[in-house]
Amino acid sequence: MAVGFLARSRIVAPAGWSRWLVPPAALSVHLAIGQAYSWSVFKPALEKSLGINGTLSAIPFELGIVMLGVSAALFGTRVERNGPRWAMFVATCCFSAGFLVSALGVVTRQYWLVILGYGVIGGIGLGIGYISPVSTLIKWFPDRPGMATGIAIMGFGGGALIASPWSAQMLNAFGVTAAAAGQGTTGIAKAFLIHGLVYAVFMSMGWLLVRVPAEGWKPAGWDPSTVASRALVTTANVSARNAIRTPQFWFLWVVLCLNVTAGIGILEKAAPIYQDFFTAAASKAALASAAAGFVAILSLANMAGRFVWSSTSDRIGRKNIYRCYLGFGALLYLAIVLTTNANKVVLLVCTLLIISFYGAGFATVPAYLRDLFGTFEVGAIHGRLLTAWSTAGVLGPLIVNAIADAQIRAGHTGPAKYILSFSVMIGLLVVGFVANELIRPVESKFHEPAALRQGAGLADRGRS
Amino acid sequence: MTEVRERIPVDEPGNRAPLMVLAWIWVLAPFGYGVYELVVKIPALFGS
Repeated sequence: MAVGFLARSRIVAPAGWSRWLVPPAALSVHLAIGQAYSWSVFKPALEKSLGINGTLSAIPFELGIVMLGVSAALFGTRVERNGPRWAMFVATCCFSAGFLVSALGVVTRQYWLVILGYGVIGGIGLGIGYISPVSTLIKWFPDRPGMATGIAIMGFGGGALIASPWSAQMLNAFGVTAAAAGQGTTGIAKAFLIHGLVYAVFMSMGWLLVRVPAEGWKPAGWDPSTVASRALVTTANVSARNAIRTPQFWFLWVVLCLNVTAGIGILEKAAPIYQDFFTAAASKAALASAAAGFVAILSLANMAGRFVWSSTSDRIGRKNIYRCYLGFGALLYLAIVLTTNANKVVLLVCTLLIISFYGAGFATVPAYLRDLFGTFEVGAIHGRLLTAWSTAGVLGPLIVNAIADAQIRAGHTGPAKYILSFSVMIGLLVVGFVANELIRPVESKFHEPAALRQGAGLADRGRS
Repeated sequence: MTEVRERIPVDEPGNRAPLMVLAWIWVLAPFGYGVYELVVKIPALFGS
């Protein structure tokens, strides 16, 4: 395929192009790559058929999340320069190829190929795919950037919702069961192969449909000065290179990292938390079903929060909404610590809100970056910020599991197992709250020069 | 004599309605399936 077809200049929207065609393009990518969070569906089958342990079978996912942050940081500037079609196309190729290489690895019993395929190649697809539509959506929806990025990033949460039952049903159809030890690898290989092909087709809607707005385009009736009048919102632009030299970037890095870690505090142990808090079920099976329902409703909250709270941030401002995620989140954790299993409704409401804030933290951060650093290289800056996610994604579960294991060894049972880890989460959220309070408008010395800014802005609009 | 006016189909917003419908169905159909599969698990939470 000619490079020209993927070039930014080839996807400048003609007059009359509806901006509401851009969210489905973004969702085509995010709903696909969100599959990453359903990797656990494959774990038991891989362990039984290849004879590996749980630690090994988790490596492709863990490496994928690390590669997500690394590749988003490394390729962010190139994504910004080459445009969303190029980025979505590359993400499609990498993500699909990851599955195909994994299929080869399984069928030949070379597990390192699964790690290379899903973890490294697929992980690069995750990173490039995750940031691919962000700056384009912000430019199409300058009046509602939180809502626009909320839709796309909600898709990432929805990806696992789709893939989890779909993959499980497919494995089942191919006769792959978690129970049968030493079974063949053909079924898993077929499932990986079909995943790769189906995702390639599904994601293609993204790079075929995505368009960037023409130079000087703005939504009908929208006045840019109304946005710039808000505190923290700048009309200047900061390059990605300069952004990482500002304290604002690192304060936001801390905010995202700690908000993610606090969410993992519940997500990582959702089912056992429920089972330890409410042991008085009619039977073990009923308790397990209820715990599965708890996990399901948390997933819905995670997804809905991305859209609802991120859209709300367009009205009340980004700093205020993060005050809510972090400050109110800490109070919710405190409520759980104080009430423990006294009231199921309190636990449900608190955990649902905490997880909705967790998801919303991801969805709102691109708009926060736009407010602070302008639209010039917001995608590249977002890519660098996602290293906070990778860090939290690895450290968060380690901390949570280490504390929980220590509490079990200390003889704690029931809700007492989690009191210390929830208290740690309160502390982390308070630190995040302080970091958010320290965020001020970026100093003008970091702004692109005025003449260059004007040119860059024009060029930016031209290419965007 | 009828005046022939040049029209550029791609610039007509109305022509994109089928594309708009297809694009949203493309993403909402699997999304709806995922949400359905999730929602059916929730009643168990309130049954125990």
